[in-house]
Amino acid sequence: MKILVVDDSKAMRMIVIRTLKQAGFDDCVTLEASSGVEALEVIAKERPGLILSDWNMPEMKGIDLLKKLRADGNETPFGFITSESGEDIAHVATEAGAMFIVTKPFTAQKFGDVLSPILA
Amino acid sequence: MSTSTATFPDKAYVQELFLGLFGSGLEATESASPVSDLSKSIAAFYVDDAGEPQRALVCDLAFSNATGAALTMIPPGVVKDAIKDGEIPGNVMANLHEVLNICVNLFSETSDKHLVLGEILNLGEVPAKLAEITQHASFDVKVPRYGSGVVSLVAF
Repeated sequence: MKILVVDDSKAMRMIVIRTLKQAGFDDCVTLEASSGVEALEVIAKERPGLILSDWNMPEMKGIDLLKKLRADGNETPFGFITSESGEDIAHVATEAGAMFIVTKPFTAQKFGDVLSPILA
Repeated sequence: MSTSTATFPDKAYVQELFLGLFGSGLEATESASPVSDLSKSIAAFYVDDAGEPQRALVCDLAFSNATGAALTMIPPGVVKDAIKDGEIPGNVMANLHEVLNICVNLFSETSDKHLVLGEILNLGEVPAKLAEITQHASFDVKVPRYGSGVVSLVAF
């Protein structure tokens, strides 16, 4: 499966991909995008099976990326990996169609718990 | 800005967050003194939904270099040289921004407001008046292989 990691921080994209491997998902192909706008291009071209996105990004926030995808009829599983936390954020994300939120910092164990049911 | 008495996370909470970022072996201990040399520190401000600064982190040179480098395993020698030269290399600073972004969660249980990372002041930009702020909690954070540094959590 292709997994798209969307984060404006190159360091964080690297850490997410490293953690995916540590969690045992090293057979997945990882793709990267540094913004919501770039993510839309990658999604159209590569058709990933899972999207992991930051919340706060310049140009297009993660939540706006998710809303755009759903408005366009794209139902690719989508989760947030973000420093944002709180019930209100979780509510907004769930209402928009997100499957989960993982709060930074995260662990390989957390990735495994959240992603195993999706990637099984 | 608020003038009420602020609460801060305890040592265990601070250590847990940094353990999540940098892995086992990291130790956080309470520091009686805040970051002293503000001319060689970084300050990150956390603002509420109205854009008002509510909290800040002040990071000394050693903490800034150690955490920024450790995030993506930049060689520890880079940190030693940078501290000796009084600098923070560009790639370390870029990583430090992400560390400071994640550090908003240091305040998630002790602030009743939704906070996000606002302005970051670089070396030489931190105003001396921050030293006058009395509401702070400071921690000495030891990052394995990268050394120790002090970070002060500040409330306004």
